[in-house]
Amino acid sequence: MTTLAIPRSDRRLLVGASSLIIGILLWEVYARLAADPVFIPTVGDVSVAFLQLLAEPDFWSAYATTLEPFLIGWAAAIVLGVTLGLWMGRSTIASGLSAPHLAFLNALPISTLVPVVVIVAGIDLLARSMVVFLFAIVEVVLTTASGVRYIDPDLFDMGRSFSLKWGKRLTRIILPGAAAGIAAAVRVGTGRAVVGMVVMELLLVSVGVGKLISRYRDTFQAPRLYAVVLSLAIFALAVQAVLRRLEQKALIWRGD
Amino acid sequence: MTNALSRRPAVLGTISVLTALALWEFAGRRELSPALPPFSDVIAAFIELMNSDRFREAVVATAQTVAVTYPVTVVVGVILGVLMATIKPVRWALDPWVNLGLSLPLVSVIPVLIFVFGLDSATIVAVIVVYTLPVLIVNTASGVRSVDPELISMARSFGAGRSLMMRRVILPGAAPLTVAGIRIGAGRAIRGAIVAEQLIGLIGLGGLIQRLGGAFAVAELYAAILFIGIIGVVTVALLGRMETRVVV
Amino acid sequence: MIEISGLGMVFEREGRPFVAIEDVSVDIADGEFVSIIGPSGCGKTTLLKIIAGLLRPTSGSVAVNGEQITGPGPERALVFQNFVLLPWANVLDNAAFGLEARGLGRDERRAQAATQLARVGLNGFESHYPRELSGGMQQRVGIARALAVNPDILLMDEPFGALDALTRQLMQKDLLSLWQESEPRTGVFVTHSMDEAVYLSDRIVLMNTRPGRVEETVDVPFGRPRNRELTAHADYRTFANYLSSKLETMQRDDMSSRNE
Repeated sequence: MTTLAIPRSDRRLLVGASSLIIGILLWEVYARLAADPVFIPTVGDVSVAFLQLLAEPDFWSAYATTLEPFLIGWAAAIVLGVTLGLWMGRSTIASGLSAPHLAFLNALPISTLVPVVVIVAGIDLLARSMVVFLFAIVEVVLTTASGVRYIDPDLFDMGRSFSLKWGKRLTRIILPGAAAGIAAAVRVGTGRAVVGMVVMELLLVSVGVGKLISRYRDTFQAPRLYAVVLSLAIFALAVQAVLRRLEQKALIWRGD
Repeated sequence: MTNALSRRPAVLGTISVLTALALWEFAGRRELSPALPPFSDVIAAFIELMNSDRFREAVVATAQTVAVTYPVTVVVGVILGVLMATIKPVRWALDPWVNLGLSLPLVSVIPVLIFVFGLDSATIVAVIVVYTLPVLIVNTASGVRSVDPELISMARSFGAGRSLMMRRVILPGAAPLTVAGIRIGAGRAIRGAIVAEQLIGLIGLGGLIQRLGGAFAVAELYAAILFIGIIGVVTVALLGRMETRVVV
Repeated sequence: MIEISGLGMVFEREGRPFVAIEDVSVDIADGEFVSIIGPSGCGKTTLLKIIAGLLRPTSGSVAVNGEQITGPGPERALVFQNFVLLPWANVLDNAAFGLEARGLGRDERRAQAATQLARVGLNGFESHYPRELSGGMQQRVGIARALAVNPDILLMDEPFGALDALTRQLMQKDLLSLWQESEPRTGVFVTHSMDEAVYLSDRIVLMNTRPGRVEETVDVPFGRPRNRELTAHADYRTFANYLSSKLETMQRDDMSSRNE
């Protein structure tokens, strides 16, 4: 029997929410009492700065500039990554040939490739899209490939016994069977693309959000700096939420 | 013949790597692009780097920071993970923070950390902690929760006290998932340290990468990247080996 | 002496109360071997867990040697159906686990565990790990572990349920001889098999289901010491069949009442 009259799931939410609130309050106390206001602004200051930013067109155009390479790189990574992943999952030869390269790219911090991209492609839209692309591609390929490998091999034998051609095999066996893996790959890949976008903005100080960050950092405008970082966090969470909604819609459409 | 090959992934892998390197050498010799030196140049640059002081300084700087910070973070993370799995209020309180730590692009926090902690290794310490603590906590908590509840019943039936329960039942049972978390965290620690060093631009391997890139020292840049990648692969492999020994 | 009076256990399942056992009263004398048997869902495992101290009853009480129990205690030891050995400890340390919980030093508890392992026929397997052993051998470790703490009362929860028929027969025979050649302990044995219950016990408690309750207690009319020849005897067969059909009637009644 519970001691409080509040149902368990609501209790969880309460404690979780109060934990966040307490964390914020602790920050506020620390900011006001102990910390150097130049470096640790109060929650109030950051909130004010955030609202101010939302009202400024510069802020939104910065995001627009940043979103261009993000969307291009993300889309390319998903399309190319899923295609390659499907191939890797089906062909043990392709898988064996690519394994060492993928393992290397998986273990390497992709941010180290950014100077290479700059040398090869400069800092224009193509280069920035490439950074986002590189961050996402490896995970998309690997996750899709493992989703494909999970498909019941008997289904392929069945297809072969009916002389199924590769087009039908793709649409009737592989795509439905790998759907869960592809969904996971999109999820993971999008997360990586967002990371790539942020790294791209910070390392190739361009005209987008990265420029805002370096401007506020160099001019010691702490509240605005924190506010921009907060906006990135919100962006990331928003992207995740949109993805989840799309995934649910796709599941309903598939009917199972 | 293709069937025989497909049964030997190691052979395929070796062929693939050798072919790629050969192509690289060939394309480099043709001087298709200043951004693509022949692979032999990269090897030469690699050897030169190995002997250079600034490279060694950079490696030591990064390695030291990671080697000191990460183990301490592991201890803290494992303790918090155990607490999170055994004491409900702790779980509900830490849950939102750990979830945020896992779903947010933590790179975004690095500029703030640089701002607060400065352009030196103090920031790297903070980055490693932020990057790895959530993973360590979550995996340890999962590990603890994965312990067969019958084992706990059995231990209770024999009157095992809290300490014995922890030592002989819970911690050994949680070990496989916990070590998996340590392996994943190690990768994140290295990645976080290097990205942060790149953003700071002055210290460690990351700073070296940025300087080499800025100076268009292409062969050295590739050499440094290969070095970092190989270290990454080796670390993951070693930790993976350790993991299989822990799994019962 | 175990005195169970008016024992009841109500669980909450999906927000509604579920009566596992109701008004169970049984007295078990020192040195008696009692089997508890009944159809699935009759609460026999729940009853055993309460006696072991792992569950707190919602009504009634269990008294051991005059004292009410509040949890696990040194005079009772449990043998589990799924063996429940620590996979990361070897046979010797597993058998010594109960003693470790009692606070015994390493050398002493290992020595005592070794003695018990020899009694159950596992001499030489001390440094093996559970995954290297067959089901029957693992259960022997479980029994050795329970015996090592020298309990007055040995509680067994379908200990041979997870074993194949041949191994089960062997284990029953070995348990019987173990019982008959050592100092008198009290035994409470939960099982599904009437043959097993009759073979091993002095008394059989028949439980019925929904709600779990004691239907009847029957004395086993065969003297001790017993051996395998008993099972060939006509009287044994008659007795076991008689009880089996009682059990079957209970099970059918339950199934038909569920269809209503």
